[in-house]
Amino acid sequence: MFSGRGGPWARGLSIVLVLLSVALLAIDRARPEQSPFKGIKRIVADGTGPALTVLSAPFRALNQFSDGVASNINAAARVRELEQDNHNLLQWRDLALALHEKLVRYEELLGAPQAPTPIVVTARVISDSGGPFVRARLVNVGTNDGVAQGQAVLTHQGLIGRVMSAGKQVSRVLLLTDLNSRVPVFVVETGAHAILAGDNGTNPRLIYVARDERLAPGMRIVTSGEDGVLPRGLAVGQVLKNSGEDWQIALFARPEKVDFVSILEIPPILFVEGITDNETDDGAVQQSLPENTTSEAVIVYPQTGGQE
Amino acid sequence: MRHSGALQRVSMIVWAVLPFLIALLSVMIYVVPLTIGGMTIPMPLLPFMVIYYWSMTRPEFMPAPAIFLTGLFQDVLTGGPVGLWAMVYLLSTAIISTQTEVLAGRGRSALWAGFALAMVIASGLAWFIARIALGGAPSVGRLGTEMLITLLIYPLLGQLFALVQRATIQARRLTVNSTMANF
Repeated sequence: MFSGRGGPWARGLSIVLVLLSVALLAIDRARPEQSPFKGIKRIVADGTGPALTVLSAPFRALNQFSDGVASNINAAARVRELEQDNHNLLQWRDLALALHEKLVRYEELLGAPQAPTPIVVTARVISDSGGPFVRARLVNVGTNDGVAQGQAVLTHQGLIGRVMSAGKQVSRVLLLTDLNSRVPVFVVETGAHAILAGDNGTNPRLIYVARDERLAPGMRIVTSGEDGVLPRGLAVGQVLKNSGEDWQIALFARPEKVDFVSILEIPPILFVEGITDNETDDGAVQQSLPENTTSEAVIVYPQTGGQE
Repeated sequence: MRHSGALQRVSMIVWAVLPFLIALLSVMIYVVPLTIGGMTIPMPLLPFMVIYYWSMTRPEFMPAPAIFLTGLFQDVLTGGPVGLWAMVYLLSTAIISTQTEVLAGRGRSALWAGFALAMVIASGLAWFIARIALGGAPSVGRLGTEMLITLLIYPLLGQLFALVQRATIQARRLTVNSTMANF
C-alpha cells in the first residue's frame, strides 16, 4: 500500500505516522470529556481567531451581496409580510407586558427570589463546523469578555447550543445538532421532561421521554434547566414527527445559517457570608441574613460543568 | 557573497515549504463559513486538493509529515476527533500514490479522474473511521455533498496549484543557477 511514496525510509515514516494517528484518535476518544487535547484545541482556536476573522471577511461580503440581491427581488412582498408580523407582534408585546407586570406582583406577594438578569454578549461566528462530522462553531469572544464553559448560545429565534470551551478571545460553541450534544428540555404542553440529543442531522431527537407521555407534532420544547447550567425556559423548537423510535425536533433557530449569536452570561454568584441558622421553639430552622443584605441576593447557582 | 548565499538558501527553503504552507492556509479557509443567498454551502475539502495535487506531481514537496500535520491541524481547528483527518489523508494519499505512474503526466483529465478516485477512498475511510470514533453512524448526506462540491471545484484550483508549481520550479532553477554562478 505504501509502495508509491519514496524509498523504504519514507514508507516506514508513513506507516509510523498512520500508527501515531490511530494512537491519537484512541487517546482522544477514550474519554472525550477529559481529552488531553482540549487545551491544544483552545490554544489553536485562540491563535487562529484573528486570521479566521480576516479570512471570513470576503466570504461575508459575498454573503451580504447575495443576500442583498435576494431581498431586493421580493422586497415588496417582504415588506407586506413584515408589516403583518409587526401588527401581530404589537399585540403579543401588550400581552407580554401585562403578564410580566402580573408575574412581578405575584412574586412580590409570594416572596419568591428574583432570578438574576443574565448579561448578553453578542458574538460573531468566525468558523463553520469544518467538516461532515462536527457541528460546532468558533465565535470571536472568550473569557476576556466573561464567556465561560456551559453558557447558553442563542439567536433571536431560540437556543442553538452551548459554549463547549472558552479561550481568551475565541470560544467553541457545540451546536444542538452535534452528535455529542445533550440538553435537558421539557415539553411545554405536557410538562414531560426529556433530553434533546443531536445526531449530526438537521433535526435533533428527544430521548429519555417517559413512556406514557403523549407527544404530538407542533408541541413547544424549551430548556428545563435541570442540568443546573442552562437557564430554564429558553425556546428550543417544536416537535416535528416520530421517526420510528424517537421524536424529531424542528429547531426554532437554524444553527447553520447563523452569523451573529448572543451568549447568556449568568452573573457571578455572591455567596452571602454570615448566614446563621436559628432553631425556633417548634424545631423549624430559620435563616437570618446580615442586615445589609436582602433576600433577593440568596440565589445559589451550581457551578457550570458542561460536557466537551 | 556569503550573504547572498544565505539569502538563496532561505529562498530555497521558502519555496520548498510553500505547498505545506498552502495546505495549512487551505485548512483555515476550509473552516470559514460560506453562505450564499441565505443558503449554507459546505466548503470544498480544500486541504485534500492541495495534498493530492502535490503528492501526485511533486511528492517531495508534500512528504508524509506535512500531510500528517495538515490533517492534525484540521482536526484540532474543527474540534473534531484528533487524528481522524490525519489518518484519512495519509492513507488515501498512500493508496492513490500507487497509481502515480498511471495518472500523473497524462494531462489534467487523468489527474482529475485520479482525484475522483482519491475522494471516494477518502470519504469511505473518513466515514468508517468517524463511525468508530464517534460511536454513531454520521450522516452520509453532508459528507456526500461536500465531496461532490470538492470534486467539481478541483479542476479550477488545480490550475492555480499548477501556476504555483511552475513559479516554484522556475524560482528554484534561478536560485540553483545563480548559486552555481557564484562558484
